[in-house]
Amino acid sequence: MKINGVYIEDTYAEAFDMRATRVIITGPDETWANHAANAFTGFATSVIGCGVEGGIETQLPAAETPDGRPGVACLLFAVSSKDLGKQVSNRVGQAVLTAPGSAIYSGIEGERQVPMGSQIRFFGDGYQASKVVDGVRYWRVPVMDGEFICQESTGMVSAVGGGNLIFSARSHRQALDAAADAVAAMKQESGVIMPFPGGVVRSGSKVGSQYKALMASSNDAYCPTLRGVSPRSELGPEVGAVLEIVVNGLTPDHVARAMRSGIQAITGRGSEQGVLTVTAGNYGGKLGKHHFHLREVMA
Amino acid sequence: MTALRLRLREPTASTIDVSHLVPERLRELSPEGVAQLQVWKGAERLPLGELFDISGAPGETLEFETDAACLWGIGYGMSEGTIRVHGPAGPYAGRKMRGGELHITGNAGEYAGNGMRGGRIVIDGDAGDCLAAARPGEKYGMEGGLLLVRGNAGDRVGERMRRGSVLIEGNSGAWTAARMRAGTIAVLGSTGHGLGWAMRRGTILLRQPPASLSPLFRDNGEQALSILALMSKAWRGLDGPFVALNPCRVQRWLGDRSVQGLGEILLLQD
Repeated sequence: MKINGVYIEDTYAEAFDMRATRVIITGPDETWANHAANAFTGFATSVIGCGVEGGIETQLPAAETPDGRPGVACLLFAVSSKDLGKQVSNRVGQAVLTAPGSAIYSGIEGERQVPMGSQIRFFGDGYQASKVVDGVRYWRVPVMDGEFICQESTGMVSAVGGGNLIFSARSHRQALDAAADAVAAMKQESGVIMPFPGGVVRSGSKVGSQYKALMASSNDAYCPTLRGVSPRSELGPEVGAVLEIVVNGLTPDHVARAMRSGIQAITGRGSEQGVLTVTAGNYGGKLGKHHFHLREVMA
Repeated sequence: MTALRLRLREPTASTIDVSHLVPERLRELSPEGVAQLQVWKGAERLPLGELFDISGAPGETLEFETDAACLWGIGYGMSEGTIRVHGPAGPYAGRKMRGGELHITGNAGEYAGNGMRGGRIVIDGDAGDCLAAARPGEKYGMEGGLLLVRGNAGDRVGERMRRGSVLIEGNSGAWTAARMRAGTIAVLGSTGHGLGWAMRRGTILLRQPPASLSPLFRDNGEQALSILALMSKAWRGLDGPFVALNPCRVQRWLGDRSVQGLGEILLLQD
């Protein structure tokens, strides 16, 4: 299958069940709301080293936030409810409580809740107060610029993590340009985040390593500097660089829609702008129950 | 939507206990079955049909028509549906209510909303003493829900109140929020003496400065509180002045420092 001269490989992205939440961070203006949101979702590229995968889903105008101030919707994904709860509490405490003028609210209904303000409240040292509004408990923690408002808990839902696109181009710049287009298109979709820097990861990994202590290592099949020595190399001589976009979503549909938007953006540049192939990463279908076949996504 | 209408035939000086007449208990009955229900009028036990003209059919809505405040315990423990009272309500309207809506077009008697845990009570007229308050010996007054009074309220509003919101468009009497544990009381008119006496936590929101304030409340200056935006947003579904209320800056007192001292009195600033 070729679209605009770009070969779409007949393969699939393998994704996993995760636990996710959406929070809404507000601030006195967009700038300060984003400072808090960026800190909250910082160092959240992979559960392997960060404990959680997160990102900014969308900017929210004042009319769409609980307290009528500019806000940012953020998504966090973890492998278990325990990990998610721990990460939410830690990140609220270090990244949102500390940000001037910020407040944080749950942005999703869930059958289960993970704690958000129920521990942070103790920072108030006895001066904290709660207020139940429309059946929802908020904590008011006195801080040096006024009060920090934090909803007691946030909803947790089952979600999907690990959707991905791997694409190659003739040059590094052409691969980067295609990646930027794809991430911009995927960000237009709701319910998804691309957790890596700028939404793009260059260090795609394979399972295992020659070093026993490592569970994963560099995906030499797609390293252009190893095309002559790696027995697994998938790259021809025309490939200058390969990049990957990982996408996590609240549902399989969210992930599929984002992947479709990403492929459309990548193939939109076409072979004339150096894009060569689009493929995806999987583990033979044995690890994740969600399989996103590229050609079905584009059908 | 079907409605069961009960019109009181004759005003009486005796109290009529209607606390068991709530939509969820009546909807399985036929109109004839409703007429045979026994109610206490003073010390007499009489069929409902002898005291009320009954029309309509039981359903989600129950309506009372009365010229006298003799109906005791309207909406006691109701959890769903709607009760409308065309006229005044006697004492204990909405006691232990858990859900649904109780709308009283006239005045309400003492202890309206006592022990209420959920739902909404709207009183178009005035409310008597002890609105949302605990009865003597009870640990807590109102424990949830929303109570809106379009007129004035008597003394001891929200005494020992624990949760929920009481919104008063008019004035409230003496000892408002006395021994309050938590929750919100907003008064757009004046408040009497003893405001917030021995309150531990909770919020009193005022548009007029209190006539007097205990020195056990400490002034914390003028502040912008985000929590007020959340509270006022929750009131937008109401008719009347609370819809337009847009609290931005408030003068904040904290007290009563003879007890826990975390109760707040917030005076809206222009």
